[in-house]
Amino acid sequence: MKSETMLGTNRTGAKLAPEMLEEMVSGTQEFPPTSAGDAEGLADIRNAYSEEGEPIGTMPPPTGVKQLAKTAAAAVTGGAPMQLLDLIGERLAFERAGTRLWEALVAKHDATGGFKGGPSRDDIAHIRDEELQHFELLRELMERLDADPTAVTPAADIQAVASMGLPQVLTDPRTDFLQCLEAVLVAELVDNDCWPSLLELLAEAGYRDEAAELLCAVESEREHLEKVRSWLAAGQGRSVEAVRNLSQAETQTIMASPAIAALMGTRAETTGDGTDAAGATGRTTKRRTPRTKSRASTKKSPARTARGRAGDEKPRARDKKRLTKGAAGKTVTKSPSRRKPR
Amino acid sequence: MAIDLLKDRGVPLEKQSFTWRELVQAPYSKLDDDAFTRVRVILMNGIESEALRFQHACARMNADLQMALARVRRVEQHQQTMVNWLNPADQSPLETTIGFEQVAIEVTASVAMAEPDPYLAQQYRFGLLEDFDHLYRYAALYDRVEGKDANTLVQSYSDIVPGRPTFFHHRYPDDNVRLPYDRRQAQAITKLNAYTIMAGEHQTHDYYMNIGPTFSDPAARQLYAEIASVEEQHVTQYESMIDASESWLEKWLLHEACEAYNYWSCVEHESNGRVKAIWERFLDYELGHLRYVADLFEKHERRDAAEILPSAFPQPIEYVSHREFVRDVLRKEVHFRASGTAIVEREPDDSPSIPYREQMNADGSPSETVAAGYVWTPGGELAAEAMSGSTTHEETRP
Repeated sequence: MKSETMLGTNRTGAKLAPEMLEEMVSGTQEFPPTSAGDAEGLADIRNAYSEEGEPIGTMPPPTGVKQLAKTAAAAVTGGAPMQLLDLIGERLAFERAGTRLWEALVAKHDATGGFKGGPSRDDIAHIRDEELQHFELLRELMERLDADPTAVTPAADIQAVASMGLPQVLTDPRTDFLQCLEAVLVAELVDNDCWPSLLELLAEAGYRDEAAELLCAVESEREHLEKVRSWLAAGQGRSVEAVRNLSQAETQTIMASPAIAALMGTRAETTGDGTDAAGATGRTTKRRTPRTKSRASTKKSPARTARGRAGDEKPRARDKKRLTKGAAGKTVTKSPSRRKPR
Repeated sequence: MAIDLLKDRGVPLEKQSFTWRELVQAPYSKLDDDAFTRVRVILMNGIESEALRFQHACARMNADLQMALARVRRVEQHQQTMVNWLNPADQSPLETTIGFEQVAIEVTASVAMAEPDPYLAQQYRFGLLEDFDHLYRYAALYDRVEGKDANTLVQSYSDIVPGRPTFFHHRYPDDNVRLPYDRRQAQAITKLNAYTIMAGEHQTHDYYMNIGPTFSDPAARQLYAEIASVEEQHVTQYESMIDASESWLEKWLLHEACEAYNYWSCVEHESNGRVKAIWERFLDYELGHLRYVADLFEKHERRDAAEILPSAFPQPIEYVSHREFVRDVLRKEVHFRASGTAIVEREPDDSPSIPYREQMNADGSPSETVAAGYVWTPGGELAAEAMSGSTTHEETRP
């Protein structure tokens, strides 16, 4: 499949009507600006407000004894555990939002079909499920650190603002599959930059084991990026092999970086599987993201039932995407079933 | 399409129905459709918004009309939804804003040219030069914050140059109130003009008040705050041009006539077939409303609707570029100011608007700052800088 971009009646270009363009330009000569200056005046307004020093928000207070102690210790040593929690919160929110992005891509695939060299529906659903597992890993980590995984941290908020356009592209019925792949590429590029940084900061803050456990996320995000790049190459008629080689070389470099290589060593010691930095080939290792409970097997919390959601008769989004255990025990996104409200 | 307002019955109110799916149709294309399709969608959303606004106000003052108003308003609500939802998701609030200002320029120009009352025509020209300037200020913001060219939206139909500088638009409240037409003597076109522009300006004001805070850039937030304030003045101006002694039912009848007139004008010009079908459908719906309200009017007021309504529409709103007319007004009237209910060539020295304006601009003028030195260039201001090779940014910022 090549892009569906086609020749049509796009009217945005000024050269479509040269005479009118000439008139537009002549108008600017007859009616000049009313004051001198340039675009830098806007920066001056921004800077004046910046001086007031209002942040976009702050971190929530520690919720448990452990975190309280960490915060107190950091105050003494001048460290910044809050920065680390902020970034964990950022990744957590991004993975949760990313899960929704991939869900939307499944729907787009259902609507527009695949193409030669592109992903199957299962390929997309698989990545969706891995994003959900990354979210769960980070949620558990937050719990272990006595932090509140339900809070929106400042970094999470800002990254959400920065990526506001992604769901707009994915859920717009007018976009085609390739255009949506371009949008998820943006998300995957961000993820691939942020995960190794987060692990490095975790290790530096003394959470080496926790960071080593999260290596699986770095590995699967590398896979996601390589796949998306390859599908785009196939869709655009470029060399898939060249894109794969480039991605794998990049992966090799990242996995051999000092911080990640050290964590690979930690993981090898812990699990005894012998894979370490020297053994990293550029292909991701076979250690997979730990399985998490599927949504289908998760019971509703009493709190949710108490709010009356269990008895809600309206059709709910979750009814449209039922997660069930696949043959290999994997979480699989099933086709939407056309269910009417009960 | 010939319409007899006194005889055509349109679609009866009880047969006007929708589904949720129908309300949410595929939008027009920001890239492919003619700029005037966006202009019409934005204006008709304003016309329907005014219908709801008026009918709610009317219901609060007229217990005996509440049921009838509720029935018509159900349909108006869904008409507004279907129209407003034609705006596409890839059109940002700032891009829609540029569309709003193009409405205020081209539709007001058409109205000013068609208005037979010279005093009212002057008011339209006065307001036109202000909205014309707003387009220029927003175009500068669009270019300088987002790096985009507003002409991709206005499609060379409207000039992007300064009008009466927004700096001077801020007036003491008394200088925004105008004299009304006389309901007994004014021609139908005069009434339709006033109802149309009032509706468009009111929606413009409400839109800016809603989206202004969605911008992170304080320069943008300030510009929206400033221009929203001017739009509120415009609502004051245009609503005061309507005879306040019209009865509630007379006003309702005129609102329905205005809606029908505007849908008819859209039908006459629409280039997008799918959108045109909506204008045709809603013209028939509005003729149904008009008949329904005319019956109420005749029953309650024991007057013939023909006293209020013409049998045929006057000339339609012209959805074309009014470049030459606007430039002519700009050359002759850019220095005009308001003084009480009059438009004058020179603002009196003791005008209360002078200290008011000085107060509002005391901490700086957002509209001047945003557009300082801005000259619209095809492809954006940066295209001129890039082509000249004089990339001066590094040199000028420490």
